[in-house]
Amino acid sequence: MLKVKQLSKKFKNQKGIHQISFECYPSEVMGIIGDNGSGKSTLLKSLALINQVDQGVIELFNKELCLNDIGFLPEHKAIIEDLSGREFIELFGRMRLVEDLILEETIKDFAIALNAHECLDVKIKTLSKGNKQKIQVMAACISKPVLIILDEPFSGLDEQNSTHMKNFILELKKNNHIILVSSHRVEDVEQVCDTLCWIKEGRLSEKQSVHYLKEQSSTIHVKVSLDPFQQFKEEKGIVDVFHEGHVSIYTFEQANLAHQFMRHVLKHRSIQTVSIHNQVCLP
Amino acid sequence: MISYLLFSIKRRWFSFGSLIIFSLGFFITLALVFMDMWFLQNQVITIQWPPHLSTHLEAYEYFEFTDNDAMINISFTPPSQYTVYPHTTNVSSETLTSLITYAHQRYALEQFDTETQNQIVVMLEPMIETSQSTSSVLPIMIISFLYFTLLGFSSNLSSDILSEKHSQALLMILSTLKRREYFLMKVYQSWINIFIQSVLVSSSILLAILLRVNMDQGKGLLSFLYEQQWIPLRFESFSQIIRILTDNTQFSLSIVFAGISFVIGLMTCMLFLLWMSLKAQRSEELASIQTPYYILIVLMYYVSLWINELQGFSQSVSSWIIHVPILSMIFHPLQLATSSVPIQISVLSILIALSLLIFILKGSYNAFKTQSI
Repeated sequence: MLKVKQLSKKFKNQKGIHQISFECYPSEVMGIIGDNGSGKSTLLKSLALINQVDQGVIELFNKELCLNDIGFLPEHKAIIEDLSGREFIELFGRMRLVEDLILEETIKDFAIALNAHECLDVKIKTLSKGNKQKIQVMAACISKPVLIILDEPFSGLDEQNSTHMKNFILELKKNNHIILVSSHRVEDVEQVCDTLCWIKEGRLSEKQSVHYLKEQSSTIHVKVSLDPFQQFKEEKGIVDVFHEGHVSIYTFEQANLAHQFMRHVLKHRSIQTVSIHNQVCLP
Repeated sequence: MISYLLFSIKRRWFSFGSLIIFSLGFFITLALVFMDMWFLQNQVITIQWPPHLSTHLEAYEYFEFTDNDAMINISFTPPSQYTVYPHTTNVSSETLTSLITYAHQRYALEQFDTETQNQIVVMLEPMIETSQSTSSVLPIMIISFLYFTLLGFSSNLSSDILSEKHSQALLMILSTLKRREYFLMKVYQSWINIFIQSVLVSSSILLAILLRVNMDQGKGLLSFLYEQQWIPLRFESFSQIIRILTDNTQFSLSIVFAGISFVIGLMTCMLFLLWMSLKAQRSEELASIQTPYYILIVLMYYVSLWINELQGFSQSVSSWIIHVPILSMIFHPLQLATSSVPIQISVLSILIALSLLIFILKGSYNAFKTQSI
């Protein structure tokens, strides 16, 4: 179990994290949601032992956390561009003293899980942002550490790569890892997280289970693909509408109206997919 | 830590760029070791003969002409100018003048009978025009060599760490290595890079010298360097220098101490520059933060040249300046060129420089440790 007690770090501009405490268990994926500048990355860097904290204790199974227990994916691209994907992952594997045979096996398994075969033997500088992210996450998890910290793992990923990343995280969860995932958007992480907490001005809320939050939520989202101009926005019951590329997201407060809307949308031939789900709201 | 150290060193040295630089360095070394040949091919010694003696034109006949491959070609331009093309490595202008003088003397003396010849002493004083410098070049060469080596290496450590910091790669690395391990690894890496560079340069020089030994034991080059006043003594061969060094333990030790002094100074400068550079939040700030350091280094270069000119390195200034850290890295080797340095002075100077190195090492590590990334 990961136990964080009274963790604080203050910068000269008074920003930082204040008195953060939480616990996280094996096979738990915990999401940390917050806006830009809220202290997410500071918290995760402190948990990854990259930055010194002013005070607080981090324990893993009642022992002081050490670097060998941690796999960390930074928010920004932190990659050596002139290496090939395989060379980069192997470097981190060797730094973590992973044996060559196991290293090869793990790279193979990870590449299957993330659909990243083609990224392995080409120079990283030639890869797309999403593929670079895959290489980085593979390098971070190569030694299969107990605690895996992923700072904005879905940032810049398209739908397909995002699905691969989610499957990869769920695969790690099955293997008893403790996983912390940050994002500034609940929608990105709610599908993989068991628990969520919010961070604002360096203070962390109490964590809640995603299941509980969905039950509490009265907001229902219907996602409609290939609908860039929100052609259904005049339908009954819609309280809000926004779009992400060619996908429009319609918000309802009543489940029956949402289902009725969905059936109506499905009649249109131009629409490829429609999905409906409860949206976790900020407490 | 070892894996990353090996990776960094391999990345630094096993690259196409390094191969090109090394090959270029080898060819430059080769050119330097054989430079006397090139100079001699283009060297012309003009001997201006006193005009009132130029009537002895027949003396010219004492020189035997063979073919274009002759070691020395001498041409005479009436009324009084000899032009000499010495296609050999061990002929000085003095030797040539003596040779011509002797020819003239012999011709003049032959005008008398043998008994008279034995009673006559002929004194001829020809004027020799050569372009040889009279100032001592060696100290300036040493100062410049040390200065450019310092300039080349001193930013290695800081630029290495800062490029990893600004490319964010440091975040991934520090999730695997402790800060202390990473910092020490970078310091070791810079030491190893200096060592590898020294080994490569030494091997180039050694290889070039071996090629030269096969030709003339280095006699021509050493004679050329002596005539150009680049070395203070005339040596007959490279093996003679090695013999002198092995026989003179104190001088050999002084060279070792001077080397240690330079490496300590170099490390101090590298860490000092890193300490200063850690304040840079963005790569654009780096240049403005490092500029004062480079100004100081240029200043040190000119002060070294000035003190060398002023004191000739045998005066009191040099005896205390050798104890000033950083400056000692230049003045310690420099003193070897002009005078011997007592071992106890060398040891004291090194200890003082080492104390500053340890202080800067601790300071720069503390600055790195507390920095947020």
